[in-house]
Amino acid sequence: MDQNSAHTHGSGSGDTYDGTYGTQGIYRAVDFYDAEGDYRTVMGIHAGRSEDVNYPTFGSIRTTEQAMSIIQQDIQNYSPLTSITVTN
Amino acid sequence: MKLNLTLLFVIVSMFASAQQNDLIDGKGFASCFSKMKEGRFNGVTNGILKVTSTTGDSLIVSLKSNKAVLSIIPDEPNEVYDVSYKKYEVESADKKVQILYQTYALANSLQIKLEGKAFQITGIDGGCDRVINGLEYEYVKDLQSEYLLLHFAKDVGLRVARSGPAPTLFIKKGSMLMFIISRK
Repeated sequence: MDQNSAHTHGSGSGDTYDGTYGTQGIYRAVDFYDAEGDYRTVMGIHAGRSEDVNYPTFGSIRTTEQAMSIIQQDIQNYSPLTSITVTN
Repeated sequence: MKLNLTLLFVIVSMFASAQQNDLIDGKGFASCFSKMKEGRFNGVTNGILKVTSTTGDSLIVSLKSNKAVLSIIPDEPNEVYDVSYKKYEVESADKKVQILYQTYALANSLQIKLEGKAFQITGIDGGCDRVINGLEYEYVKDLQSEYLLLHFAKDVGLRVARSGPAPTLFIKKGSMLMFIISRK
C-alpha cells in the first residue's frame, strides 16, 4: 500500500525513536491471508521502541531505523516497494 | 491473450483498491479516556442502525437509552501501540443484537452480533493506524459525561471475522449511534 514512501502519523502519534513506529513511520502492505488462513489488515514494517526488534507487534515487522532508511533509499534509487522477504 | 491479461490485471487492481478503501488513515481520538490504562464506566446509548445483508434481509436496530458500558482494558504486558483498548458495548432491548465499538492506538473497529453471529470491520490489526471509512466520530464533553457520536456517512460493510475482504452485512448510510458515558 505504501509503495513510494512510509506513512507517517504526525506529532504525538508514535513516530519517535522510542515510540511505537520509529522516526520514519510505517510501510504498510495490502491486506492478505496469513499462513493460518486468517485475513489480515494494516500489516507493515516499522522501527520504534528504541530499535528493540524483539519488542512485540501485532504481526507487523519491527526493524531498525537504518533498515527503514535503506528501504527508502532503494525506493528512490530503484523502484517502488512491492514485496518484503524476511530472513532471520 | 494480452488483452485478457490486461483486463484481469485491471479487475484485480480494482478489487484490491476496493478492499483498501474500507479503511482510511486514522488521526487519533480526542477522548478524555484516551490515556487511561484501565477502568469501567457506565452510560447509555441512543441511535438507530439500518442493517442489510447480502442475502436481502434487513433490520432496524433502535436504541433508546439502552444501558452501555465503556471498558478500558490494559494492553499488557507490552503496550504495543497503545496503553489500553477502549470498548464501548451496548445491546438491544430484546438482547438479540450486541454492538461493540472499539478504539486502540489510531485505529477503530465495529462488531455487531446478530443472534450470536458476529460481523465486524476492524483497523485494529497490524500497525493499528487505520479507521473505518465512512464512519464519522466525534467526542463532546460536559461536566458529567463524554458523548461519542458515531455517524455512518456511507454504507459500511462488515464481514465474518478474518474471513476475507467480502462484506456480508452492511450498516446503511444515515445510521447513527450516540454513547453517553459517565466520566465518574
